[in-house]
Amino acid sequence: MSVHIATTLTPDPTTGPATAKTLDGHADFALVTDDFTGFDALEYASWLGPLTGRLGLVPEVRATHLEPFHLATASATLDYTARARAGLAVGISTTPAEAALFGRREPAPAPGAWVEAASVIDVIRRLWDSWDDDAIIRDRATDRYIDRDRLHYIEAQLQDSTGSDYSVLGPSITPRPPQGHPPIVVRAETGNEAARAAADVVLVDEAAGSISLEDLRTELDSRVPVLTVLPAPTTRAEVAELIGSVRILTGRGAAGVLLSASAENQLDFSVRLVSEILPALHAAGLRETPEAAAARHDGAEPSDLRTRLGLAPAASLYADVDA
Amino acid sequence: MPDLHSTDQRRSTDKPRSIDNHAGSIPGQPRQVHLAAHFPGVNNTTVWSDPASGSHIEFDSFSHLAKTAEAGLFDFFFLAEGLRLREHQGEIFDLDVVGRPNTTAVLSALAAVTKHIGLAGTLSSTFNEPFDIARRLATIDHLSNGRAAWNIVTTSNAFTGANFRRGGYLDYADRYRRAEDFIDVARKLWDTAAGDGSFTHDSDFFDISGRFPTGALPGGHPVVFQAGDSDSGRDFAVGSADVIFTRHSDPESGRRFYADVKSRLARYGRTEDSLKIYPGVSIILGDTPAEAAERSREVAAQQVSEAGAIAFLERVWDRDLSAFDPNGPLPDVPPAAESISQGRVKHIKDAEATIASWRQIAEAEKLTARELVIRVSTRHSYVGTPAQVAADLAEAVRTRAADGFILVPHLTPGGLDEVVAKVVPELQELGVYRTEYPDGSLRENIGLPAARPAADWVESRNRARSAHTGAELKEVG
Repeated sequence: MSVHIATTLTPDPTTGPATAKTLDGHADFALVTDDFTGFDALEYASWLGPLTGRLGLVPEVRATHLEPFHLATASATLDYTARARAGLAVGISTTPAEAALFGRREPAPAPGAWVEAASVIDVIRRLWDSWDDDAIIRDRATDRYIDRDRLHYIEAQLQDSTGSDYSVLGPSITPRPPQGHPPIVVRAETGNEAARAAADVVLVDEAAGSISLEDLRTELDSRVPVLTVLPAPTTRAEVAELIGSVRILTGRGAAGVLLSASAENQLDFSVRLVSEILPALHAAGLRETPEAAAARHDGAEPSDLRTRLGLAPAASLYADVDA
Repeated sequence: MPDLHSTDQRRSTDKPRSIDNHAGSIPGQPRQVHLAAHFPGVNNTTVWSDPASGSHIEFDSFSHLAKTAEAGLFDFFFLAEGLRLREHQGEIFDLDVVGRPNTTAVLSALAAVTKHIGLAGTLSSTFNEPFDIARRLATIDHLSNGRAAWNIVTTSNAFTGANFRRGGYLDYADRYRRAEDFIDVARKLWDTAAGDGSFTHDSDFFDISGRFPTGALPGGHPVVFQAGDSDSGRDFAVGSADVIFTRHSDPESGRRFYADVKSRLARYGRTEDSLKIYPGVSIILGDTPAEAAERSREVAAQQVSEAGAIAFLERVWDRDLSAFDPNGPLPDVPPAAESISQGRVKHIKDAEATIASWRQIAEAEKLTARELVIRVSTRHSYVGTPAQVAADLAEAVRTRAADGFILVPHLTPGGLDEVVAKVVPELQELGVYRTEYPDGSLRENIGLPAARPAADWVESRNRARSAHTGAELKEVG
């Protein structure tokens, strides 16, 4: 048993880099938050890519107002620039204030927005897979740079949160990302069954909603890790309390925790994570040390995020088409 | 501060040393040459068959080119964007060097590995929303300390639109009106970022409101590029852009373009230095003029493969020519009427006349089909020794054919290594190239004045256009 440890990271040019560098090699991934009230999380995570070496970078995006095509190419590009450490946390946007920033449609209630988000996740995966891993052939004999038979039109039909139809043809402009599918993370909320069924990793905040770990363990594929959202501890006493909570949560089926820190606290918290929390988890036998993890992976700690999270390699959705 | 390789030994003590060039023109100092780097694109100018050609998607390639350009004190790194793979005869065109990253995601990552160089990218105003684009650029501007730049393009075709929920057809005139409005909104949001961020914008194209959340941008506004060439395109640039990226690469047509565009500035209340003109150019070097010419011929041959030559002719003939031998004569069939190519701007309007002139050239010079394509489609802008090329670049700037050059290498990622190592020191010797980066943002690199508030752009544009006749106004939109 080794619990996964993730943290939130608020894009902030002053504390962000130091926080990310402190977390690098210790936490499994940073969820880079974005609710349109700060910097763009995809850009921020892309910037952190070359500044870190082992930390998973999972920007939060709101599928409701953005283009699935851009989300697919930007996350694939992050997977290249961060060398197989990208993920993508897909959420929705339902408030009138957020809709007014874009001005294209009325705010929509959550159920419709989540239905769209689930189909956007599928479109993103299809766009990632729309290039086979070996699509670039550089064939001198025929002068062809690509083999067009290894590229795929995805021909996706979607409905947005207000019920309007749209389509995405593909293929992507970006080759398949190094991880194939950077892990897709979804927060479990009432009514988003389809979106979380499409995720690689599910987050649950039991204190904030009515969904329990047990519900999710019953509902989800057993290979999908569920991480429980907890507030980041700010005192020694809270650290001790956290270790106890983690023990109980893992017994209930959690694969790990996402520790949520405020922007003001995040640097202090990252230091506390490395100096207090992780050593306590190691001592309690709840998380393997980096050395133990490295030993399990032929001497080097896994640097790609899928492996770090125990996810199987992602097969292409078009694999059978090629066969 | 990057110190340039061999410059110290080359720079003898009594030669004039260049002074930092903030405003672009210091009295008594020769007009300064500015350089920028273009990441090789999908077109046939990019050579992938050379053993030195590396990945077009791995980050190391982008990082190498950006760092090389920064070592050469270039103004900016430029990344183009195509949002749908081009098609030829109804199928994905497999000779294109495709497989490209998302523009802003790469620029953000480059911000982490560079310190001075500007980070410019093409972003479509058609398939994006102003709030999203403005916030992404503002984020990059913060992460890079004022080095973000945006080449705005409009993409009003259904072919590219098939990948997007947005878009749709717009009249030609409306395309520019919408693009102008898009830039106005973005600048308005950047202006509000310096205050509490509150904004509203209600126009023919956008109805948005809220709070722009990034705080004041270090560069004021990201630098706005424009690449249109038509009369409306030029007025659009004069009315809204900081930099023009032009294809007028030869000095003669460059001077005409430069004079025309700059002559329009006064009407818009702008100074000559407030809009910079950068043609995209290629450089081929050799130790002797003969060696450079020979390398130019070799590169041109690499740029036009046998299959590429036939595909090039097919785009002009608009019909399948696969039965013809690229190493034989030009196809002896007439052109067809319908376009077989999707996702390209068509530069040749009259196929029959073009083909007739090519037949004459091929006959007179005894050229095969492929040799003819090489002859008419590849032209390297500056070919010579490093000293010759440096002198020619300086002359083009002195005679106002350009303010700077966007260098388009044919190889990724090492295609500018030699230019930076050999031409930059020659330019410095001539006293027309800086020896260190100026302090400040991309605006200082380029020599642009401080950002003007969005309202000033709108007001001067309206004033300029209301002074014109109705007919002209209508044409501009």
